[in-house]
Amino acid sequence: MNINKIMLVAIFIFITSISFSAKSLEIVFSNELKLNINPHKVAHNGNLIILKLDDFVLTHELVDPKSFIPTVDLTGNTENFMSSLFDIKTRQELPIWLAKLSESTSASFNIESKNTSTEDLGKIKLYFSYNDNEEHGVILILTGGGVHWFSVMGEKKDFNNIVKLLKE
Amino acid sequence: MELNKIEQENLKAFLVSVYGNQARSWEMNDEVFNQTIYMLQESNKCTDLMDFVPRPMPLGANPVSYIKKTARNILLRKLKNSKNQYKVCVSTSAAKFKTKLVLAGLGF
Repeated sequence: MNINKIMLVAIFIFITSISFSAKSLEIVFSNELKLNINPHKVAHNGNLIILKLDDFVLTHELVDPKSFIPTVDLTGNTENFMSSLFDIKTRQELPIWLAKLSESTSASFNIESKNTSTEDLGKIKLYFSYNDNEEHGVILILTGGGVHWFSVMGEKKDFNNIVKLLKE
Repeated sequence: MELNKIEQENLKAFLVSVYGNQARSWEMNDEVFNQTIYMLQESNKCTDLMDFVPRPMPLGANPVSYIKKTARNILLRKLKNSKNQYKVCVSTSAAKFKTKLVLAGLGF
């Protein structure tokens, strides 16, 4: 094998190893919640992580009860309030002022019962909703210890794929 | 970029009051201004501010060039001077617009 061939093989192995390592990125949000994904670009701002993929953008934040709604401190009500954005029954159990806030926040995210699903997987509970007009979906995951909020800006197939990956 | 230095500072002062310190690292570019206008518009509560935006704003209009310079200047000054008042009126739409504002502010 001449030197050129050796160089070519070396370059091929290098490129292959880079692409394999990029594909194996595992993002750990908690012990129960991990995501295997291959973003092109990652940014971190405040408590928000932003992942840019081929055709869509995925963001994640751990809901901060003091800042998720800028003028309201949700401390002590975070899980109930966040799940009430998707679940009207939970909303009805909230104090009236918080139920009204939940209703308007939910409307702002275009969360409607017809495009919303809930799944209880034991260790984690998922609420998710996708709006076709805005090509935007949101996912709430309760892990018992944390309140995780994901946002997907992209097509429904990408949103559904993220939901599937988060359940794995 | 259409916003001048003072307009950028006024816009940043408002966004920092809504989103806290993370907004300090955002570039106050045209897209950040546009998303802020969409957020104010969607809240349906900051009506006095929206009087500076000729209605109806056509779908797909680019607010930074659609709103006249003088009106934009006053709007941003009011936003800064009464930031606590306007923070309340965007409280429900702020959560939704955070992602779009971060993306715009980081040039993502």
